Amino acid sequence: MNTSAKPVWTPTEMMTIVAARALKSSDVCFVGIGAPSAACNLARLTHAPDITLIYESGTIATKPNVLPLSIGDGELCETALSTVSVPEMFRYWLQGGRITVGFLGGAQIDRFANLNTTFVGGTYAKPKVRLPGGGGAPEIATSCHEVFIIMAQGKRSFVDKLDFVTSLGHGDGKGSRERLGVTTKGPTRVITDLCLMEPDPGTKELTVVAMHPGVTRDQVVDSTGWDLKFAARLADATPPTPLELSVLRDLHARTRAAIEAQQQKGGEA
Amino acid sequence: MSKRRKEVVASVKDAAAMIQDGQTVAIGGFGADNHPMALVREIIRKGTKDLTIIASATAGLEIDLLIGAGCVKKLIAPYVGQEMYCPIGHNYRKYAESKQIEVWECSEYILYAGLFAAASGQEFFAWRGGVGTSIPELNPDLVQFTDPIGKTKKIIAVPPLRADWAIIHVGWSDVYGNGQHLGARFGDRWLARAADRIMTQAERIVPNSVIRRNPFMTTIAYADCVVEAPYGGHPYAAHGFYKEDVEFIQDYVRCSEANRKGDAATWDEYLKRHIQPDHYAYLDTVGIKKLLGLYTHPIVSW
Repeated sequence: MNTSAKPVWTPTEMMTIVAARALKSSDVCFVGIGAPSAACNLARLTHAPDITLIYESGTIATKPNVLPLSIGDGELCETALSTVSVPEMFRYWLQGGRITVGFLGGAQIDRFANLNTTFVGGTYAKPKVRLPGGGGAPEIATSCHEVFIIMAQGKRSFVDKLDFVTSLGHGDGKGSRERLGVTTKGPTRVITDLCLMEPDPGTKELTVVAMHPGVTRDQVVDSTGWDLKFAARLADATPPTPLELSVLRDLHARTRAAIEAQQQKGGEA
Repeated sequence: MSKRRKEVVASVKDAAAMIQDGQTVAIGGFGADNHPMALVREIIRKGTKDLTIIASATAGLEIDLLIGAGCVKKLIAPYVGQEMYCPIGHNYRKYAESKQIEVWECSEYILYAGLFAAASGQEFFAWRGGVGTSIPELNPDLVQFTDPIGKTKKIIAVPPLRADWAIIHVGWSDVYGNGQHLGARFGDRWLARAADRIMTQAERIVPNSVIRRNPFMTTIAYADCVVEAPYGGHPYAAHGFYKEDVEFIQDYVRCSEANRKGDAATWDEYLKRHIQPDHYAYLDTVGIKKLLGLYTHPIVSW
């Protein structure tokens, strides 16, 4: 790999595109605002036109033209097949087992893909940094058929030990979910801005299975707070295609344009 | 119980005055949408203290504002932030880190499970989300148990979450407190049912015949009190009426971040600018051009 050539895509774009590629038209996907929303809509606008996107605000089979900044946005409701109440979404769609893929991220992740979005540093009683909290992640983690995790990789976020387990991944290894009577697969992929990891089938410990184009093994190791394992044979990394990049960039450009248009309409505040 | 038709319209001021120091208040909406902001601002103006707030499952910065204004003692919420605007509410973070508020740790459906238990007069509601996490370990009100029938699954028992008041934004309402959402309902009906009394904030008061024309859309029947507050959701969106005010929310994020970082003057000035003598004085500070620029076509055709 010629590392001196300037890549024509950003690591975040690569992360979003790898996440999009993991989705199929037949998936029913629980989408969060941010990178998951970009990835899911990219999939819908490219190889997975029939994917069912569900946002926790209650919108089912939504087809947003722009990416909302917030989960309750009218854009999601107006382009949906149906909008149910939030409790109905959680009870009948999520815990009812009707969602194939849930997307999660977090401030911290450990080697078994457990996530923390509650606090970092100090103790629960006296946290150094209070984080937003669980949101819907704890139930997404147990009720979606499988979970894809998407987050930027770094030593502060990929840690040896979580300060708080907000969402269950593979607990302390193989068999943990089963012991709690949780029958879903849990996290099956962790997609970062550097690589793709999957839990080892024997131990459930996260293992690098592919690195993004131009990323070195040292970079990945240096961005992880534990002794990270690599698969014996890494998959070939496919760079973003021109189509993937143009559809993703158009989506972001439309979103920016919509916000600017609204602000101009409102004139000087 | 007889339900004779009774007019329940009140001014924003009189309605907010019914909420007493120390009470538990559930606040509707979701994310950046459908929050009863005229009532929230009046609660702040009046200086109501020591509230326990039950937030909507994705609480936005309306809760952060109440915290930063010193109205909140205890918070029951699975999330406080505004996603792409602000992943975590700055005042929430400041007050939680310095233990100036108590946080009842939960997930979105643990919150709803508690509301269901309260609304249906049940001792607890069972939910699986949250098993295997630190949440039930650190929230002593949650009890993890083994499914007594299949005997294999861990489940969490969530006790009732009851509120004295629910304050809910509706699209419109009649004078008798029968309101209709003109867009998504989010978790509003569950927040309302878990409360002893319901206060709605409507964009318009409409004749009872409008409500009767489409009873399937009546989401809140028999509210105890209704206020009319056009653009009462600003700076957030009100489904069927207007979008959120992006610039205004960004300004909130800047000022609340300053407060978290110790610049209390910027925050005090923010409160002074936005906590006006009444709702219409507030709308004046926003400006007619700005407000009308937010208008969107109605989501629901009625």
